[in-house]
Amino acid sequence: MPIALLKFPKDLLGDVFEQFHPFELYCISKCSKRIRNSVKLGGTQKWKISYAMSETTVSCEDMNFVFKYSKKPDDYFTRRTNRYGIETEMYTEYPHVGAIDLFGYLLETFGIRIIKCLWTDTKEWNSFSEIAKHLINSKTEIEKWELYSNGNKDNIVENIMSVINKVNITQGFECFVQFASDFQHQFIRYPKEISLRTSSWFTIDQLLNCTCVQVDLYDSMLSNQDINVFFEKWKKPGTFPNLQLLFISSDRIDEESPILDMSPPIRNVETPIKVIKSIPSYFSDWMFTNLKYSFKVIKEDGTERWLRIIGKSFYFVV
Amino acid sequence: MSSTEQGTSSAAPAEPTTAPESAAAPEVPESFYYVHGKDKVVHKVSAGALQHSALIHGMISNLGYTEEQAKANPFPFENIDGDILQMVVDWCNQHKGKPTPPEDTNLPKQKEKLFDLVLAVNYLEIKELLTYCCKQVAMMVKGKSPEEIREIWMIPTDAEDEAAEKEAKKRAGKEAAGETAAAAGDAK
Repeated sequence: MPIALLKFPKDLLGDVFEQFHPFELYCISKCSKRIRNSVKLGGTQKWKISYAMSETTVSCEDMNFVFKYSKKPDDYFTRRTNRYGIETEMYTEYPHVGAIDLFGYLLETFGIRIIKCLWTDTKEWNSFSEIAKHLINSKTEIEKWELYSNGNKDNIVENIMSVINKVNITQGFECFVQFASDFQHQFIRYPKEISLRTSSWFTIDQLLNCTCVQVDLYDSMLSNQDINVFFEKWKKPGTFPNLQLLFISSDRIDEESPILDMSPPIRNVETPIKVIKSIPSYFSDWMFTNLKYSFKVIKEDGTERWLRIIGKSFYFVV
Repeated sequence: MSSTEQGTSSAAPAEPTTAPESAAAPEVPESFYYVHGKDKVVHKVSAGALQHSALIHGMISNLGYTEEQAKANPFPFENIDGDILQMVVDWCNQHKGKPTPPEDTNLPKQKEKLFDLVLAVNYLEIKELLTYCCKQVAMMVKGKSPEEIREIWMIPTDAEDEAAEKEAKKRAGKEAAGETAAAAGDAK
């Protein structure tokens, strides 16, 4: 016996839609534009969403619902269950633009305000730029953004980095893009953690103004002299209140030039192997395991940190 | 007065019962109220049963009606069909003074009346019954394809929505033009 659902008042529609999980609401949203505009009445805005490896995952109430696309029409809307009989995967129509198109559809249809993880490749930028505008305008929170590159033109990379400054990334930004040697970029605001796989453009001035908890700079141009400049500021009370870990890998770092008036080689053989407390991190934690060869450095307010230089890498940790 | 005095033994005020010696306080006689729907058939319902409805509970909480006054002033719910109100009253009586169990076997089963029942329950603000009804509406389309959902929930297609919107605009335009013409006629 059919019933005219859209004749229900709005609050009642919300009560009905609250009974559904993301796969079901997706199917409902596909019935018409009008009902698509109503499904968020079911409280979907509090869900979280992720996009990685061409798949979109919607998380609600500690459960993950993975949307996969299929090129076979027979597969559309079919669902797979896990061993507990819970639906965890659904196949959807193959998006016109690309997999990221489905991410945009779900983001907008459900009115989701928090992105758990965004894993994008610069080659997807043409499809992603419209979504980026939505993210900027809606002030959507992006907990973590991982950006990969597949040999794109420099102007695309510049566009993406200017978007990075406009969106609200809160926890981490990890960038695997190979930047051109003359690339320049200035972060306007920082998430808790940044990890840059090529960071030759990240200058000492940027480091001095960085508010992150964790900074990983690979392929950097910073030198022992720059690290000295960093320490001059760090030693003063109240500076770098958040910083718990700094890692720099650079051809211009060595164990022979002095840092903090320490005579080379900067290697403390007396420091025992000691496991230290790791900090919550989205990124790798391999560098937290021991302080072998590390020196203790003390701020003017008494705060202690450990520094270590091995080869061309500099570690500075809690 | 209809014969549908659900769950009550008498329309007259309950006789005070003799309290057993061990009881701490004497039993308070239950008060009753009267409601009717579109069909004007009056249903006698206890205040305890009516507590399920936030709307009615709010209406009666400060009335202090005597039995006679309550009988003389039934609450009219002209927007609710008589048979739907009967279902709601039945449910309220069956669940008087107790919460609904998760697997409630006393819930209304008539699917063909579900739409009207949901609207009535929503209007009367009976939270537990509303949750159940919404679950029933949701169950109708669980595991169905968009095509099937569209049919079950009578969802118009985009083309139908657009056509209806055009028609509504046309009608509104005609009405506005008619009003303008009438106003011009009046001015002359």
